[in-house]
Amino acid sequence: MFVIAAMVVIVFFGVYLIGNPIDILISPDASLQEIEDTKARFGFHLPLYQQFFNFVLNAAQGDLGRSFVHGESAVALILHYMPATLELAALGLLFSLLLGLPLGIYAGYRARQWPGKAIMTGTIFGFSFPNFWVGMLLILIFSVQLQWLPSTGRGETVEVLGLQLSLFAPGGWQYMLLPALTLALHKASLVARLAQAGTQEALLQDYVKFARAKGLSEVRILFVHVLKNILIPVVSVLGLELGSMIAFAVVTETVFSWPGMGKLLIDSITKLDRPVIVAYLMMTVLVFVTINLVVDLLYTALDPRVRLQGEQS
Amino acid sequence: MMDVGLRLLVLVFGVAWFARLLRGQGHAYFTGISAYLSTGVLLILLVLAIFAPEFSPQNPYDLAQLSIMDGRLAPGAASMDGAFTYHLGTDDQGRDILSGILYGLRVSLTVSLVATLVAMAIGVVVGMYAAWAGGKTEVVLMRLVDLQLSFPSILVALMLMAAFGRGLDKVILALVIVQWAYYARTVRGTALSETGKDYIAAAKCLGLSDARILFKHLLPNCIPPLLVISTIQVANTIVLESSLSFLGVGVPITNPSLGLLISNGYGYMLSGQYWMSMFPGLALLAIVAAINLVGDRLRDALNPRLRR
Repeated sequence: MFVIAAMVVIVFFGVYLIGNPIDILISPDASLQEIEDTKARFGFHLPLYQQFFNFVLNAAQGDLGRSFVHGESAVALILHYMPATLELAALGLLFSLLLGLPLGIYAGYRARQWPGKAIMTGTIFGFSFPNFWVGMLLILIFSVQLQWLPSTGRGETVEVLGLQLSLFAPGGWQYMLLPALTLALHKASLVARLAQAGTQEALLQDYVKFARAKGLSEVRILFVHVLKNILIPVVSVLGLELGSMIAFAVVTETVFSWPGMGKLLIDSITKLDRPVIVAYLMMTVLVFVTINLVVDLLYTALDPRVRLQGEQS
Repeated sequence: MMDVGLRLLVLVFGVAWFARLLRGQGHAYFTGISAYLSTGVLLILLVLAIFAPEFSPQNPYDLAQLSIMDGRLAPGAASMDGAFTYHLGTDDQGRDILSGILYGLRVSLTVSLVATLVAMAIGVVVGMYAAWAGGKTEVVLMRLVDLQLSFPSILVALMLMAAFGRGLDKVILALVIVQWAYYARTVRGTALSETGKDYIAAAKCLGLSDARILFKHLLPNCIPPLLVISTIQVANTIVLESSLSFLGVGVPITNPSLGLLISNGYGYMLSGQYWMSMFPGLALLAIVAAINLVGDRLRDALNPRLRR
């Protein structure tokens, strides 16, 4: 709650330092009267503290103002664009797990041999790739050269549980592959490094020796016994990283012209659409707080020790 | 523009700093081919960036040297008057991409180095002070740090740049604000464990002033853990700066960094004119990967737990 309260203050005053939206909304040759009218319409004529007071009052009722440009409620606008970003981030997260976990476990298993070392060096490259450049590279290879996948946009969407999603649409899923992969690369490297460190440690434990003594196959030991034990750090870090993934989607969405909230934010910044910027930030704070909660809940599901403590207290 | 001698001094200082950092751990650092390779690449790129005016075939800031007729030429093409070969092609305004990359490398490196150093200085002072003062001061400062670190750096930087507007100094300022909290948190941890040690107690018994204890005794012991982090942080800052520039809220057009070069060429990529953003991107990847690999090796080599 402290975080949210602090953000309200910072975001409001921070965003209201950005330029003068009046200059953009009205044509330069508008009369003084027109300028005053527009100011009054958006409440700019009030002193700053009063604007802030009104903002907090409205925000408490779930109203973060109207977009200057779109004329819609800012919250509705964000909510309209949000599913696209969330589905992108979710698929990116899935990709990073599918890519990072096996690579990391294998790198941990062969830590002293060249495959392990090669994978670890590879992850450093994964960290080093600038997000937007990877996206461009993928577009160049898969869209321009090979022409397998569409380069930009979102394609068809279908309504699933009241949300417009393109993942399940016949003409939509291929639009998601490249952006999600771009988003996933960085996190996959992170997952691989975590999994490698975890696997190296886990392989020294007694339960692995016991499993080997039982004659279980190495694959089963790695992907059943070891995997379970390295999931906890991976989940906690990834949970926190989901937030940064949504944030980095700003860059990816710009590259792929993906109509999500990140692109909305960039457009709003260039158009000085204050209510949308404020609403975006407030929604992001809310999402972050929710993610932290979900991560804590997932902890208890994954780690029986935490669950036991909770039940005793 | 600094003169050649001064720039040479900067390079020598950088190499000397690196050598001192490695003191006696060279054998642990130079293991395997990737260590040699990344260090070599980093050194070459640094030399290229520092001496960009001497190496680059064209000064991309000098409009008199540009010809709009040479716009968007493919790599290896000759200029209209045939006097000049564009090894990596030209951009839409007839600028040599190779020269653009060298100068852009310079901008990217300067911005991130300055931002990292300033952020480190601020972070060290705040973190040390928080640990030293304790009580409410510490709580307030650390709450601030936590608050900032709970947000992805790119979002914070994006907001700041939106508020500041474009400009080299503004990018640096935004990158400092984004990073200081990170150092403050690390330093506070180190400082807390250091203040409990005997030499601080001894200094207190001698009746030294707080400022003297902080800066002469505590500070030198708080810095070493930061050096490796800051190496990797320089790479992160380069990526962050280039992302901002790519989004159009970073460095000004008159001072293009690698990110801005990539952004400029992006519009032409779908039509197959890949070189305008491909080569700056490769340069960006090279410098960031080299710094990250060097940082990774440094961390292993300087980690006492891994010493054999």
